[in-house]
Amino acid sequence: MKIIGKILISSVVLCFMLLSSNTKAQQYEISKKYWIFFTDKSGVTFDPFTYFDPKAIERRVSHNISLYDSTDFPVNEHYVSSVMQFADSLRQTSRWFNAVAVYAGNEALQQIRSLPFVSSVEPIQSNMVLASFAIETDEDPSPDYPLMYQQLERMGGSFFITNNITGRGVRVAVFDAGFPSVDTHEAFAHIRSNNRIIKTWDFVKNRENVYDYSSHGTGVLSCIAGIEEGKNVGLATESEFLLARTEMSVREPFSEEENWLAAAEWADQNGAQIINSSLGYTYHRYFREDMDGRSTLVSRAANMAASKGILVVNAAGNDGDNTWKYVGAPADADSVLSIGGIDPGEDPMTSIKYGSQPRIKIDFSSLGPTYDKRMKPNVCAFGKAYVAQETGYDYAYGTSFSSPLVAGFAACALQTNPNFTTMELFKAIEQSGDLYPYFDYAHGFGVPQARYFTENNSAERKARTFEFVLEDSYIAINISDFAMENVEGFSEYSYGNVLFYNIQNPDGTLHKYYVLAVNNKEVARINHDELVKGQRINVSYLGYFSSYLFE
Amino acid sequence: MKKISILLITLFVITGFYLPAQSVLMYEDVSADTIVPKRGANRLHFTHWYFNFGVFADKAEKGAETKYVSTNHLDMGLRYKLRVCNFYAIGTDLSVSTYNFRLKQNGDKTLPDTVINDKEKYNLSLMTLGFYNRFNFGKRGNMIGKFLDIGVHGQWHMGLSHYTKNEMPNGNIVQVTTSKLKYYEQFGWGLHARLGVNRWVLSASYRMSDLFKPQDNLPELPRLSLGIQVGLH
Repeated sequence: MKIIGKILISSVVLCFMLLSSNTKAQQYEISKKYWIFFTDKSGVTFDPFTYFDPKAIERRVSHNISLYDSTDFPVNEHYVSSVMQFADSLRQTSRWFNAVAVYAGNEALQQIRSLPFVSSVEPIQSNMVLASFAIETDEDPSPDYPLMYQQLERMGGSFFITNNITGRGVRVAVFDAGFPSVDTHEAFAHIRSNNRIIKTWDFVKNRENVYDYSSHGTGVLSCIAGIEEGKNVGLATESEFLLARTEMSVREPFSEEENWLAAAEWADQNGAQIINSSLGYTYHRYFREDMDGRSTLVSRAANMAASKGILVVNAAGNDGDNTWKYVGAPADADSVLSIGGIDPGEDPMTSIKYGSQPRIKIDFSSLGPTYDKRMKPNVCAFGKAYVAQETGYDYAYGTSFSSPLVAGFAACALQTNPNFTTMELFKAIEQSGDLYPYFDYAHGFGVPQARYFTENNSAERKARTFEFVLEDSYIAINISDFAMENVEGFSEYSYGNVLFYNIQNPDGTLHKYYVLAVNNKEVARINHDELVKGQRINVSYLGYFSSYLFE
Repeated sequence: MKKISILLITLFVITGFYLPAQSVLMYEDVSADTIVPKRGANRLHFTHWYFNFGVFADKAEKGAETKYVSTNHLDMGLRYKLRVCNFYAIGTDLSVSTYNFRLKQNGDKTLPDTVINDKEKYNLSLMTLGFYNRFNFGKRGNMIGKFLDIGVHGQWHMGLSHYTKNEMPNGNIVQVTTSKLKYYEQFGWGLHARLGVNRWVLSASYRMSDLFKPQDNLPELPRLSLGIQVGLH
């Protein structure tokens, strides 16, 4: 029996050695990470003109946001120092949530809980975040100009470029796992030469230098603002940037939600108008039921950023073809512009095949809706792009790259109307989607289109391309006779020759949705017994939208 | 008229094959997708296959000393987990195994006799039914995460065979396998513990019961095994 005792004791010891990645021996006590939330901010002083960058003040004033919002006030120093009498170390401080992230043992935690100004305590776990990318090594180091062109032109990028709309003056914060070579790579020379990298901060290492570790951020930044030999990799080539390293790595992706929150507050303080974030928290930490935009701290932080006047653009995620399947956090937040990925398909100009036909949702792009049945993703862009890497260029896959393509687009859209509030810009980008008002939970409102912003929101799609045919027992969707040249602003290359249709419940949520190849005049037939009264059949084909109410 | 009818029917059948059909590139049934599943790594029920390889780590009784590493076992099983709460679950597993006990050939050997052979081993085939308590650590979503299992198992010893291999003076190799041995117990039991992170598991098990019948006075083979398990999920 002695041997059994030894086995069990050894197991327990091994257990703690293995399980406690952040173990800190202090009188044999395990130290873990916690959020400590405070009851109030009484006694603190706050001068917005000292704390905020002038750009942040400008943004607040233009959005009619108070400069004296209590969520921007500092955390009470006395509270922090009282907590630190018991905690082992301080990880982050959050003004927005009036909280500190600390390492503390169980005994210390009990003492912290008993402090009169502590409202609640929540454990923080280091968990894997979405590794939303894959880089394909290309032997040819020169950029793939046709794909670079298509990844922007699919959004009508030339309308911005020819109108000299370059995101000028818009400040974009990029949260990623590292930005190696951004300080030397030719794709960013135009940004460096104009000193438009305003600030950098590594929230993992707590230092200024972000130009090392994963090159994921390098690729992402190039999708927002890169230029290669005079050709755009991204659209917002004259924007200003705040670069934050919030993830340890993407290939070994252990990360912390508190880094994201700290970076969001830092971006707010430094005047960011747009945040691009390509991370997401899914099954490693949460259940599908948590994806309601309220349950996770990072989603609440993203909504808080939006309430401060920042457009948060976030990758939908790459779980569309695995068991998780759905968008993660913070892409589930209602004020976050969540970006899905589409397949680049075949280049209509060169006939080069970059992906499979047609150009609909790329297989890995995560789906909506959120658990509370809100539409996500909001819009989509190429899920494969040609991007700058630490040296040269590479093909990159993932909604990580769809997101910055749209973030660059959003910076240009904001330049067209600097008076846009965050939600006005959000809605305008949705309305510019080439499927709008049609939507589904794979493509959102489709790919945003620049001409919506350059032609006074007047993109016309008049040609009737299909019609509903009502029969006794079914409803058919038949293709109309129409001339392709009448399909203004749209072509069969946009998605391929496909028709989108969904069945929408009376409460506005979708019951089912389809993407069909158009091979015949009659594309779809929906039997009456598949429908219930009050449901709608919504159809979009080559930019024309129509809806049928089943009664 | 009959010919025309046949022609029309033929045309009807042929055109029937070419009636327009939906060519679905993508389809999602949202209402079916939003049902919260009961099965999953951290849902109410979870079942998965696993493989285990272990070596016997303790010393056998005098007379039955075995060689390390080559005294090992291979197991394949099916495990079921019932989630009670986020940090506690109970479960059961059923496995089939083959144990190899490679006997050292020295002067102390008495199992099953004192004859020294070039090679000698016991092969035990068994089926195990285990019950375990699982303690999980840390907040997590629908994944196994980090855990400690402690449990008990019963074993059915399906067959024990004894094998020897000797080279004769004339160079011939003589291999002898003796099965249907009468001196082992049909059933046994033991305790086990496992320490895991998702699919990767360190396992330990200890045989509490004797393998050989007491009336034969045979020394016992090793009882403690340490192994590595891979969950197929």
